[in-house]
Amino acid sequence: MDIVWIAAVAVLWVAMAEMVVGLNKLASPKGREKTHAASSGARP
Amino acid sequence: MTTSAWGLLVVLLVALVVLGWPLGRYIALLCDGRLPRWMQRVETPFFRLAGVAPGESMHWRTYAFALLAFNAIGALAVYGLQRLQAVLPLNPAGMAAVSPDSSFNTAVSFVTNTNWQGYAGESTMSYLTQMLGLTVQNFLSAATGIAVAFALARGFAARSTDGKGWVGNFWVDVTRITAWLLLPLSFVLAVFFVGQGVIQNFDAYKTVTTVETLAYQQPKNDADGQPLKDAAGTPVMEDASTTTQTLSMGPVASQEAIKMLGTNGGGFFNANSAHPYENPTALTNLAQMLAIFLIPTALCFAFGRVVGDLRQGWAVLAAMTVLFVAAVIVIIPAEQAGNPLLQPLGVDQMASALQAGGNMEGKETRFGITASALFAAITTAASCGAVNAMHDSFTPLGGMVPIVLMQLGEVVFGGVGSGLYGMLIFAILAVFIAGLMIGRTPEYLGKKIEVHEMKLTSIAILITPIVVLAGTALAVSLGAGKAGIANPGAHGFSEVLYALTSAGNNNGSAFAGLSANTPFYNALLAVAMWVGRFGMIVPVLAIAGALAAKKRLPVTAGTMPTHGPLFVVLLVGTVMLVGLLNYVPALALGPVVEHLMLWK
Repeated sequence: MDIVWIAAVAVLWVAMAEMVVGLNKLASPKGREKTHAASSGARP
Repeated sequence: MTTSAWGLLVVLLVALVVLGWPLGRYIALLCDGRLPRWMQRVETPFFRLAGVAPGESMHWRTYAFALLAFNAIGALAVYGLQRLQAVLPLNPAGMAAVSPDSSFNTAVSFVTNTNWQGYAGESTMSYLTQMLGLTVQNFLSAATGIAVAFALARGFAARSTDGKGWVGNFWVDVTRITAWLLLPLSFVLAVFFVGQGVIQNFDAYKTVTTVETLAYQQPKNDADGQPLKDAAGTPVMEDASTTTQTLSMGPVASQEAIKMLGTNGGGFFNANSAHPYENPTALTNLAQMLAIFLIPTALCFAFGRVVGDLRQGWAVLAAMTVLFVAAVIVIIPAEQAGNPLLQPLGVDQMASALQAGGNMEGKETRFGITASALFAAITTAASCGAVNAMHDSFTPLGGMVPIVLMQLGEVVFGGVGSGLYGMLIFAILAVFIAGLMIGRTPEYLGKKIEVHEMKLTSIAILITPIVVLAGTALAVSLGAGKAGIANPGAHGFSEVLYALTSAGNNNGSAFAGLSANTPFYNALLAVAMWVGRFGMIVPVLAIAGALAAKKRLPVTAGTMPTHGPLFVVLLVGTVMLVGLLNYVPALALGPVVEHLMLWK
């Protein structure tokens, strides 16, 4: 049973780590270009 | 409000400024790394041993990964301690291992600075678990929150034009905050508490003979030890009496100090700060309220110093104070007014020399209305969660105030660190709204706020309401969620809403009445606590990195001042607007309906 709850901690960690990776991509020059294009209505 | 209530509020606010000002100066030194040489000499061997270079700053991504790894390891350690406590030392009461789902919930709860407690401390946790698991996390989760506030303050203060977005070193921050801020303050406060009568020992629980025989009712069990139920499914009760009582012991003072200073709130005992061994006198009650707000206040001053403009810190503190005073002006009169349904029954609810009057259900007579209601406002304005009265027994209006204070995002002083970075996120939103109004690119503290920062700000602001509202909807939709509700109707909904609000905003206080120590609620609330905490920290660190990579623009005639009353009003309005837009429908189904039913 313990393994289930330990795995749950790991899953929660991975979810947040994915968020870091995703937001870091958003912060990259490429990500910002996409953001700018999307907010200005232009096709990416 | 009574004169004594106004007096207590004024004393509290003045004491906070007097104590917070010098502490803010000291915290600013910690943030900037300008430590006295003797401190550096003490910490250097430890950093060397750990392979940490104090001068090396981190990119926000590295900072975030370090923070997440540190807290995940902390969660696993607390989980392991609870599961193994039966075979570990310092367990004179012979506590069994905590159940897996409760261990998971408690581990996440203490790591996220929430300290939601689905268990009763004195009948669940060994002294070792309390000290090595829960108290240690009280320090480390508080240090984590302050470290994030440091990173964001550095992002605003950065003047470099290298565009790299360094925000500091997480390992250095968390070490210095723990060793040089939280430990010394906690030591002083713990000694004060011991002097006032808070216990600090490793004794076995004591059985004492009571002054008179206590008669009570208890559930009757069958031969197998299972509770008997009648044909209607109601538990069968039997009369019982006792002449003895078990007094719980333990190292309480050392946990109590950081519980307040770190805005953690997890009590050693189930009754938390209503227990005379945790909060024995009116003086400790005042000290606990002060301790909750002390570091959040000092952090505002520290922020002003770090960004090089003290007025900015004052403005943030002013916005927090306005919201807090408004809440106090509602909650104390609501509790002092009492329960109108008791009026026709001839119950005297008027304040007099002999009684506090008002709604005293669930409150300690030694604290009365003012010190209980003020404590409730403080503990929910800050993300502390310690309680000296049972919030479930507050009047609907009085009980709504703690819910709303949490739902504003725990930015009214807020948790240590999290209150400041939460309010700064609202400040970014406020300057963005102001920028839209006047048609200029928004700026805050010389940093341009652009599309990227606004996307991150939106994520940071919306993640908690999503967790709270989706979690509440799930709980009231599923059988497992409804099974825990003790009170039907609007009050039962308020209990569920309070639980998710408390978990998602990392407060940790509870409306009693909800049976939350079940696998369903343990899992649901743990997810809410984790996502509510780190789902906000990650975008905040990303904002810190983005701001740190930007040039700081000089102040011009076109720059909107962010240190005056106008900005304070704008900031307060933004916090209120976002909070109310998110939560008014849910509040209408709970405390608002209850209030209307009470006064119909």
